[in-house]
Amino acid sequence: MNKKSLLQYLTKLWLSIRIPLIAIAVGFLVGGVIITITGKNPLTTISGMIRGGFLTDKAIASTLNRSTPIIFAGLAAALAWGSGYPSLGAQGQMIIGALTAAIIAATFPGPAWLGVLLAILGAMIVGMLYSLLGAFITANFHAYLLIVTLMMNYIADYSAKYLTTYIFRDPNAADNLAVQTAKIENAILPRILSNYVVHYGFVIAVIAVIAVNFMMKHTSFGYKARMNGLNPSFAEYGGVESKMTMYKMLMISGALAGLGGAVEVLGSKFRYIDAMITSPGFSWSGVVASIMSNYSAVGTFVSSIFLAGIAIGGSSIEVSMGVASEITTIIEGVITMLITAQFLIQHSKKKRLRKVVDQK
Amino acid sequence: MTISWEYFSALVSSTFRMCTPILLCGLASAVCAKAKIFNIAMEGCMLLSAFFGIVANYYSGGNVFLSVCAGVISSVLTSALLAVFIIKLKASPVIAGMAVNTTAGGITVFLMYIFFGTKGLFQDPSLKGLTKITPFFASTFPKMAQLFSGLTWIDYFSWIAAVCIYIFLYKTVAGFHLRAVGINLEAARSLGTDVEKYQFITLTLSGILCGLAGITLSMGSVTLFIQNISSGKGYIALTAAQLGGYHPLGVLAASLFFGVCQAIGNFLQNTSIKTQLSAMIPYIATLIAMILSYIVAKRQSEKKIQRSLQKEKIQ
Amino acid sequence: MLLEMKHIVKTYGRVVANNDVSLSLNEGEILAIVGENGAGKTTIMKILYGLEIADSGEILLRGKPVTIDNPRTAMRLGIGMVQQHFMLFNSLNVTENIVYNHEIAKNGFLDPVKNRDAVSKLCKEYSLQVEPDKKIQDCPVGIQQRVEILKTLYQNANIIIFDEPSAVLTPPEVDELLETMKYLAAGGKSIILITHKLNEVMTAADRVVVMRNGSIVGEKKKENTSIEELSYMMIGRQIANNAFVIHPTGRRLLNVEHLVMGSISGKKILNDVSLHVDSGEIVGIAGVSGNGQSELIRCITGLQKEYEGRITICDKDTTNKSVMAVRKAGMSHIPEDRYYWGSAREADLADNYLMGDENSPACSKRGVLNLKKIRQKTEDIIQEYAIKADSSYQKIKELSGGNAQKLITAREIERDTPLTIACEPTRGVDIGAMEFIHNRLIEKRQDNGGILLVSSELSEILKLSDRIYVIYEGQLSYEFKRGNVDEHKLGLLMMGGKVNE
Repeated sequence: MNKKSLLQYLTKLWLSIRIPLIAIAVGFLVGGVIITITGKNPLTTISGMIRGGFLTDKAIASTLNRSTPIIFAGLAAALAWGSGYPSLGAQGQMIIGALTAAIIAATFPGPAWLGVLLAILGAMIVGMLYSLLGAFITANFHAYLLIVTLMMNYIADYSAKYLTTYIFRDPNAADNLAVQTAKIENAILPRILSNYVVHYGFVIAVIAVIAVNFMMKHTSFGYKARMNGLNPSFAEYGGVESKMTMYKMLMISGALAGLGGAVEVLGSKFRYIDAMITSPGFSWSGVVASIMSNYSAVGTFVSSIFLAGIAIGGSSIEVSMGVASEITTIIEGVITMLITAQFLIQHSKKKRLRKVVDQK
Repeated sequence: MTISWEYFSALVSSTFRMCTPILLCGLASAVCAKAKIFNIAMEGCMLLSAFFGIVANYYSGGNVFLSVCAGVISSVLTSALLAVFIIKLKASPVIAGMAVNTTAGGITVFLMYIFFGTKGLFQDPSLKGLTKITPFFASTFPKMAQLFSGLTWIDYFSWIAAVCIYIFLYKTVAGFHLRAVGINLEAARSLGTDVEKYQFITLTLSGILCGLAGITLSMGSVTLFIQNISSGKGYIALTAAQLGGYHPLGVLAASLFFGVCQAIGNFLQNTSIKTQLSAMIPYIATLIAMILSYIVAKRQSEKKIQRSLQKEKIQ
Repeated sequence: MLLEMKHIVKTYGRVVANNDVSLSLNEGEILAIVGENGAGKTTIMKILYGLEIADSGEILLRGKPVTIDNPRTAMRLGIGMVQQHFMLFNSLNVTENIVYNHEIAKNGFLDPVKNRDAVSKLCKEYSLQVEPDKKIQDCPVGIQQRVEILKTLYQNANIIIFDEPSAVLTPPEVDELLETMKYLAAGGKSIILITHKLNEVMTAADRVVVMRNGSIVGEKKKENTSIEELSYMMIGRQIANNAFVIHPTGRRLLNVEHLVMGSISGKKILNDVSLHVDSGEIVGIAGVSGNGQSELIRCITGLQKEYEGRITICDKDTTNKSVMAVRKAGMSHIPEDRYYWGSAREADLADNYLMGDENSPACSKRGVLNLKKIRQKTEDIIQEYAIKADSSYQKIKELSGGNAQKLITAREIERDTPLTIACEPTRGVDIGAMEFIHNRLIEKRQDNGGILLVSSELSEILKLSDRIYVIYEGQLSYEFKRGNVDEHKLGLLMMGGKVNE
């Protein structure tokens, strides 16, 4: 690569990071304003948040741990949205993937590593099929993928609730009301280092990022999907078959989401607990991460860790400074709104400040 | 299995009560859809309204009127903000709407912690809820009146709203123009209609409906605020709007249908069909409805093509 | 004198769309403005209707100068326009469409009975029959157009502009339309008809204004002219390149047999089209755009699948096959819209250049792309075609139209397929790039490739083609061979005239 091309490449990189960085800066600005209005010091709070999420060894471990399911959800969203098929179905696919993995891992009698492998495969297959069902309905009945996947998320969640409450309920639960499956004893993903929470699921996530990146940038299949996302007519003109691309992409997306659910069960919770996927909002954070990076795999990875970090940091300052951890959600929301709008930076700053004033 | 009238009327009245927030938010979403705006932020607007209603209630010493105003205003402002982003700044309605929902969840808990020192449930004897209205025919038809027990003015208002919105959309000039915007935006614009203005006002005013829905949640049957008090009703409302074909009377029917499903689900709790399964009914019903409506529309257009081919043969 | 437009000038960048155009219109007159694509006739009417604002010049209505800055002003002044693409609400009925924004209402409430009566009255007044309660989507295209006419009449238009109105109509519907125009004119309305179809002009118009390259080149009364004269004026002097060396042709690369394509409106967009392209020749399709060329190319290239007939490429049957199959049979395609079909604006040059080759052995192995090679190929082609770009990492939207077109042309020609379909290959492209692209096409012909060239630029067709078909209203009406090209006949056929063989 000659100097000129290198410069062009770096310029391209800078242009793609510029807007998310500005959005993040404004997000923190708004967060800081809100913190100030509630009487706390914004600078110490935000620096506390950053320290609590990124700057101690325990913090980094927690962040990487939390980022793992977000990375999978983010990759699932990046694949779907980036190839022109905006799907919100990662949540439902993660739920049934998680449940499948929990059941297989807890009941498999053989060696642990095989149990983990089967659980993961089972989750991926289930996620893939569920996503395929959504794709099928969309393609053949002219339905909106967005609405179909939203409906299917609820169906998945309630089905999982039902199965966990009545059929696969944990017989040994200390609390009678706990809606969860039996604990997995052996077939788990161990921690990478024993005194830090981050587990091998993170490693699997990194492998997934590398694989997805390779697929999107280095294969002809990925190329066709990318072009389809940028201009479907161009893709059609070049011989890309839209339906096939949609099915394949949504299937891979579903498999990744299922894998994400499985990994969270096998490495973090060791059972399926009702609302373990919906409550922390992994799938929505994944979508945000993919949008922040314009659907690139590596960018999604970085954004996911960032979002996980501010969430962990947010929890830590709640304890230490009495600022509710929900400030993270607010910052995330501001970042999301800014990125999805298409406008000049100055224009956005004025609007954000006005919102804060209005809310009070 | 015998059902007493008390039990049955309790079911019916609770159906009406459960139906209200879904109906109001469903109408909001449907009217926006008629103007070609994809509004999925009802969940967040409802949540903010429920919260600020309670806040105003507490700090005004139980002034219900101020509480309702506070709730509705917070919802309208949020809708207006969303309108700025979607209409003026061309943001993606899905992303912006979802962002509003999640951020609203964050804001309500954050402020709850600051105002009331708790993150879960806030209740206080000084809070005053909406008055329950006894129907005017209660003395003459007491059994009938039991079906409508415990309803507030917002519950009755929601049905009136559905009818009024229907009249507005299909009988007035402004409603006519609004529908035209949704049918062919470019044509409406070229014929002199200020499309952005219609969309902006529609989205902003739909916040009133969501605001009232929120007040029902925090000041209706009970007067309190819980984290995530809306618990997905905004998304059910979206479903109701879709199932109802974005027509106000269709939304009314769909909302009642969902309310009935929920009530029957509770009723069948002790039999083989559990609540978790009956809770799925609205979503499965919507999917089936989407599939069926496509099949029906396809058959109709095929018939049309057949007829025109026959005409050609005759010629 | 009802209307006068004096010395109208309108430029878009470097292109002079209207160059000192002056015209007049009398009451009860049907004035036809004819010309090829890009002659400026649509522009001048857009200025009259307020969709565009002239750079200089003035408009006088009944002797008084007026400023028309938007369509609402135009309507208020009594000028209405029936555009090529209808502005209708398909799921609403005829009445609702006609009265839109001018409804009869009381206290904000619509009065459907009064509105319907107003429409019925309007229909009676102008003898234009429509069913007031029928939904637009259930009406045939001819009726839909009638609704557009009634819209202008409902708002008391005195001048009605028709922009290529027969493009969407079946022949009987066209006759009805011309009768309607004559009836309206007889009743005192003034009509301006923009068209390139000269038989319509001779049937309905009183006066004809001919435009070419932004200027008016002639004005005639209908009884003093003929289709031949008008077509000659429209095209001007064209010199066919009869001195070109005839190249020997070989196998049949493209064979189109009896292609028929219909539409929902019932109009036959392609009516029994048969043509062929052999190796070593450039075959041109001459015609004003909108006569079926785009659809024909879509059928051949696999983008359109609903048609009857047979298409064979390099001896392989590609009828109704996928785009992939058609390309594999040996076709490359320079599309007519470089940003809609031909590229992805946000993608970089390398990504844009790759399309179609992503599975070729040169660029990939077992599905894995050789990024280094692809980048190198792109850099090489940027040099070879002298494309003004900073690097292959630039997004294609940053290039000028001409340079983007060069890249797309390079992509299709360098793939070295036997057959190349080239649609408007030099549209919006500067002279230098145009020359370059033309030379590349000629080179391919020398290399025994076959090219199907579709262009609304007659000069381009005449310069490059060994054989020329003329397309008009979805039918190929003649075939000219190099050395025997009669420009007059060609122009005549393009405008719908008949030639005695």
